[in-house]
Amino acid sequence: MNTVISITLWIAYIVALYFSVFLVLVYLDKKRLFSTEDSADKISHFPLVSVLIPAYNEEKTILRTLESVYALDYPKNRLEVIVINDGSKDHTGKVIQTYIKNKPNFQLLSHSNCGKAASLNRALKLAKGEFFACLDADSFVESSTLKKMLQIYEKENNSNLAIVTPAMKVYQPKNMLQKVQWLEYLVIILISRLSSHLDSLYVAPGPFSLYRTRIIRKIGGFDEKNITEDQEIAYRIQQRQYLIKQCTNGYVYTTAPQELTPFYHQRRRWYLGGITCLHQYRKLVANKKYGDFGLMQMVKNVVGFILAVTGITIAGYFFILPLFQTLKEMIIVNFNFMPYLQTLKIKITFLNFLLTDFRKGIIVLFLFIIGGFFFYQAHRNAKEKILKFGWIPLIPYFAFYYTLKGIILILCMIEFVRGKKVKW
Amino acid sequence: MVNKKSEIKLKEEPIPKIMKEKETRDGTFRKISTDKYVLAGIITFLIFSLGLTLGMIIDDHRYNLVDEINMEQEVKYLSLQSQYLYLNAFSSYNNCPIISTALKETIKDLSDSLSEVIAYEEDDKTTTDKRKQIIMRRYLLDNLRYWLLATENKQKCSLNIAPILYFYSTECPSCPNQGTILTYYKKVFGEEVLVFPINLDFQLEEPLVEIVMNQFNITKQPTLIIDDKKYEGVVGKDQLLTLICSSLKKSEHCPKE
Repeated sequence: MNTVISITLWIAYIVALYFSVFLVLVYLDKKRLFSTEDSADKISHFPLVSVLIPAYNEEKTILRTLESVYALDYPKNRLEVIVINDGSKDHTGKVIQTYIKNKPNFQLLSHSNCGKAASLNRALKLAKGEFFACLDADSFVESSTLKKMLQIYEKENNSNLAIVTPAMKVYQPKNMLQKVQWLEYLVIILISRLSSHLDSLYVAPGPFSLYRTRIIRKIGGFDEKNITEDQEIAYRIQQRQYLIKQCTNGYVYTTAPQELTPFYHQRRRWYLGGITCLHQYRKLVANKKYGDFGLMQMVKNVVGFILAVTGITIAGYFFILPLFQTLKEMIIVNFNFMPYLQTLKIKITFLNFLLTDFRKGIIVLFLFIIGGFFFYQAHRNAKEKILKFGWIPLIPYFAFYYTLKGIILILCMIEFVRGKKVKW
Repeated sequence: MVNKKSEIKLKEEPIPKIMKEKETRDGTFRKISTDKYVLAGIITFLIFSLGLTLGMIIDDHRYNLVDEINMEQEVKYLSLQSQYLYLNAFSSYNNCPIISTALKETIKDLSDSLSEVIAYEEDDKTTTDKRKQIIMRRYLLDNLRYWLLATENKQKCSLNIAPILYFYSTECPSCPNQGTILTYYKKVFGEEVLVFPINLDFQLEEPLVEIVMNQFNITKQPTLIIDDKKYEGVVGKDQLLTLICSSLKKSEHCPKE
């Protein structure tokens, strides 16, 4: 058993190290392009753009979302806004109606509840824009973002460029969970930037990804069956050999879940959607036809799930086993633990230091260094200070956050496998 | 009829378009960063080898350090033995206070370094190294010598100690329980209880263990020897307390009668 665990650990460490080193190489290779890449908000012509805002029970946040769209730095007669009231049970409809009065470029589409993807598809039929963006009602867009994203379309000048994704930040994080997510999102921006260079983006974030209407219509709009339509559409775009690019400094702000339960629900949706997408597009994995996306990104996505699961399982094994042992000892001595506490002393001798396993240790050390390096570069990339919210959020971020995500991931995988079995 | 017609129409339209699209979009923009795949592999391998090399160097240091501890132990033992011989030669004098202090100090040293070696032993269960076996054998011998010294001193100087010789092996299933109970009382009584663990995995290589085992006729594990008396099988928590307390003259940790 010990040998099996040992070998599994070795493989896990080496695979993780390989992917990290690869990312570092991509970073070092593309770094010189970084300074020239930032989009300016100057564009030569103004195509018609539609903004679709699906809303379901969002009376509290919808107003700020609408205002951020209204405040977009873009000619009003070239911007069409379609707000979709997806059968809200609260006053969302009323709030929208009051707001869009006297704003001719805003329109409201109301129908009984049918889900986000279906709402978007209905609005997509009406949309007249050459490009369209979706904006969740809990997200807000910076006024210059639209022009910056359009500039990517102009610069690339490629009719096969189907999606430009924004850089997503957490909106005014207040509590610890939100601050940790703030840090996470910054790292995601940098990693997505590198993926963008390899044509390997596999998520078009719900808030304000800018799509080319023609292509999305051609591939049949959003998948109404998938719970993460923003991942599914990106995978489909990749499968059909269209392009996705990131607009590195086109910022969108989203409200991150403040409590553990909604956080769990959000992540569960993401991960289950991710697993479903990977399963659906499994033919792309290690497929040469898809270049780096097939050979690296898809493989990494699959291996990432496996690594997370093995990592958490082994950590659990090492944590639970000693716990069980201690419990057994305590039962033998009738839980009389005072003598243990009295003689408890922490000794760190040179021999203890030598006892640590340096063979695996050095790999873990390198993983930490690379992680820290990307953490630092992510802040530079997003032009944010590392200690913006003090150093306290860094502790849960590095210590527990990935474990928490891993546990949610395992639960999702169990759910996925069970769901499959029931269906078959 | 009407439905069928419209269906056919719908199907007819998109097909040629998609065909055209496929011709233009064959993924020619895709790149394969083979150089980075290979380079990443090489760097990963280098880091891996660095770890292996470092591990080997550190292993060497570790053995040397354990060797040092052993040698230190030997010198201490020699010193104690000389003291004992000296005291024996001049037995008309009452030198017991001196030797009891010396013995206690040395035994404390032994338990400290022993726990380190045990930690080391547990760490590398999978490796069967000759050096490791030699190191473990020397510790076993050390334990036996100290046990002999402690027992003899207890009788001559009437020290207030309970020396326990503990035979166990890694194959015996109930030994961990006995170990837990012994550790517990070691912690309760502190220096009054001296536990000398004898790992029978090394029995074949050490004739002295054979001698002791023959003398006490030890057939089972775990077996405890307290004051020349043999206790086979797991000695329970309450029973062991009684045994320790009858071996000690007085102790604050013993229940008052």
